Amino acid sequence: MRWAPLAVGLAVLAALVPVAEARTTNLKTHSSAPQGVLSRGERIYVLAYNFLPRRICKKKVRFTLTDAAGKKYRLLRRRPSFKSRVEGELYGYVGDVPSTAAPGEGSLRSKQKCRAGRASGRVKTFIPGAANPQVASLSANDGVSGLKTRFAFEITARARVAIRIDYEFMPGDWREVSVPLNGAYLTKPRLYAFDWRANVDGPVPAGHYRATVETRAYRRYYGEEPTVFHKKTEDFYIAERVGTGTLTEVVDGQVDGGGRLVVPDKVRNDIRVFGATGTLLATFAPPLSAPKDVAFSPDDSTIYVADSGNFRIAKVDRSGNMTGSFGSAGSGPGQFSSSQGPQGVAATAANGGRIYVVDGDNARIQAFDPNGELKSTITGGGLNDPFSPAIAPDGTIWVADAGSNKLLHFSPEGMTLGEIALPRPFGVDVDRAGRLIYADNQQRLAAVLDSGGVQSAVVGQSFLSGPSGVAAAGLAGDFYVLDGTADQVFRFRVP
Amino acid sequence: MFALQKTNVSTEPGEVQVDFTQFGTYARFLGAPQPVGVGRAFRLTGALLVLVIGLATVPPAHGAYETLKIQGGTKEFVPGDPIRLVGHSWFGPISNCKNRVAIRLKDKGGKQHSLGSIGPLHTNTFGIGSQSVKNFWDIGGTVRVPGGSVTPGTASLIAIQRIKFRIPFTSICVQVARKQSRLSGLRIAGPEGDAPPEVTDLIVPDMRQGRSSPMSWRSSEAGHTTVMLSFLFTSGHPLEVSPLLLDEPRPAGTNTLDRDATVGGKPLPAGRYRIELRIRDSAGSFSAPVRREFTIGFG
Repeated sequence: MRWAPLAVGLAVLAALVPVAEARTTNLKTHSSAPQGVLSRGERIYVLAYNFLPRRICKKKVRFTLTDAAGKKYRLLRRRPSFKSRVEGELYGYVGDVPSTAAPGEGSLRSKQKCRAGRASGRVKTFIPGAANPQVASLSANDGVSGLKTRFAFEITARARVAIRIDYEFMPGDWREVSVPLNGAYLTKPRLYAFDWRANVDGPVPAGHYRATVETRAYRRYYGEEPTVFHKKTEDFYIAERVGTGTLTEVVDGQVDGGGRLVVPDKVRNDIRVFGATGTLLATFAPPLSAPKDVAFSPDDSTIYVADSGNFRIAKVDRSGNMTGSFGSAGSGPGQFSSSQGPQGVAATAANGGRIYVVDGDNARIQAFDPNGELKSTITGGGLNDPFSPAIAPDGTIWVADAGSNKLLHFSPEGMTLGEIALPRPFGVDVDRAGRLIYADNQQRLAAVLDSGGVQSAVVGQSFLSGPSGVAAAGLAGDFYVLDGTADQVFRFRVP
Repeated sequence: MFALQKTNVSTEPGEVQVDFTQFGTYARFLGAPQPVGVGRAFRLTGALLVLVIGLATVPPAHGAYETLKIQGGTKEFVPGDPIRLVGHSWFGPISNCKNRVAIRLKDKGGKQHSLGSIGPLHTNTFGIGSQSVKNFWDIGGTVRVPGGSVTPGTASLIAIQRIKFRIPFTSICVQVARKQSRLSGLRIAGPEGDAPPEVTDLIVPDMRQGRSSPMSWRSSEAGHTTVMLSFLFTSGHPLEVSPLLLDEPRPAGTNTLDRDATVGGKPLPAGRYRIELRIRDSAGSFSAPVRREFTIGFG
């Protein structure tokens, strides 16, 4: 009986002091990666619950990362939440994986320790041996608005990958417009292909775009700046299709002073006018045969049509009525090749108005006044099978010569000023800034040369079938490419 | 696949009886009082399933992390300013029923103004466990502070997501839960008790590259006037053009502004644009922003 008071005392003490308890906290790392894979430099987010209630323990939870070499790294200390549905929940960032952590299997521990109890959890981790993943290569195809365009990229190690798309609104003014891939976890170091439908809620405008592929750490929510390990960028162009389904066979066209694209249809023997947004505004059907090209009088009131099937230049007013014509079949002065007819036409207001007509088989360019009177003929400079003429703002003449495979440059008087050798140039035009735009039928591309003759852009290589003509538009680098093989018209913008 | 054998569909909270006895697979449904596993699928063989519609209400700011946040952390806004919102732990569209998050602004006077809605961005699947919600969605988007009738002073943003579920084979969407979050501590700039200026008769003609074309408007008060220009994608996605077209004091009455379709001497690309005009009077009150669309064609 002498021990009885002591036993009672111990019982009272046991009732007063909370029983020490040990809890498992169900620790998980969470991300789009497989459970437990943590790259070096990456942020670690965890989810755990079942920590000790606040009435028992107010201690923060300690997180410790142990690497494959057994080295321990102390991470952040966090306080669990008891407000949410799950008792003692802890969700969020607990620190970064040290860049010096040894690769291989390690562990992540959570521990909340106080006198009255202990809550802990542990998960296995794996730190890949390779260095932070790199983007080894990236290529981006040009595409058409609203359709898929392909990016191909290679990563050196498993990585979370994001693809961003930027749009060059004005020269040098890049704006992010889309993030079509946002931290997808790619497990194998190999080449990947990603198809982006050129949409941002709807078809994107024609222009210069930039794809950026980056490997990065997991981010907790949209808006948080992620840690980017490595990135690569590649520029590409998106074109808008003009007049889809309304053209049967196109060769070349021209933009008038009002910004409307005028395209002759070689099979339907009519002329179609499109607005700046690509809508069909009008169709003219004067008596034409296989029209190939158009040009405009300085006041835009008359359309000169290379009416090749009738071996003449037809003059058509803006209502579509034929107002006159000049030329006939033959090889004499003022005549056009009896096999092909006039191939192309360009007009300028200089010297009271000149209409330059390319006479392909006769290997010459003839200059007429607005009344159809022959004023001069250009024959030199290696002209072989000229296809398309263009007048530069300085009055000089550019011709795409498919026979000699050159772009030829002449003064208004017919002197040769220069030439550019190309695989097979079919179309040429010069915009108001003096930039030369040409279409190469063999390489299936269009390209822009700045006023210094330096190539500033190559477009459409991935989808053009056989470009045959180009037409410059506006002041901001817009131009049309007429694809004579696919019989489609595309609008590009090179800021 | 399954087919609906017989239903007693009601959009009121209550019970819906669906017989799935002949079919194998069907998606989940809610329990009360909190949502569980929205969008999760499980196998059901030969059972008579009783669906409970309604009742479930998600607690405000459900989850242990931010459900609504302003990018950049700005707290003071001028009417017309964009508020770039991001959030976490919202629900994705369930069974093709749209579940956008409606955003409202509650001003100092207690009046609520609808600011539109923002939608889900993508899902995060954490694999937390069967007892918790599996599919959380991030949301993101931009809303604008309205002007005019908004009382300046402290304000809060309220985000509400009505979670709707489509009853199979019925095309009826029923609301099964409601999630709400509040973001307090915002401030709308401007003095209290002053009538804001009004903008009327804003005329913005179409124009062409290389040509100038004036725009005009009528203002009820003199004040500092700003005109912002945005380029619009086909879908309406805007790209703000900087600098502002106008950022200077203007008198009351009819005003005009010459535009030449250039920025910094460079021609603007052809396309669709939007003008937004607002005025701040001498007392500091802001007008409601007024917007008009116009096009720039090739010159």
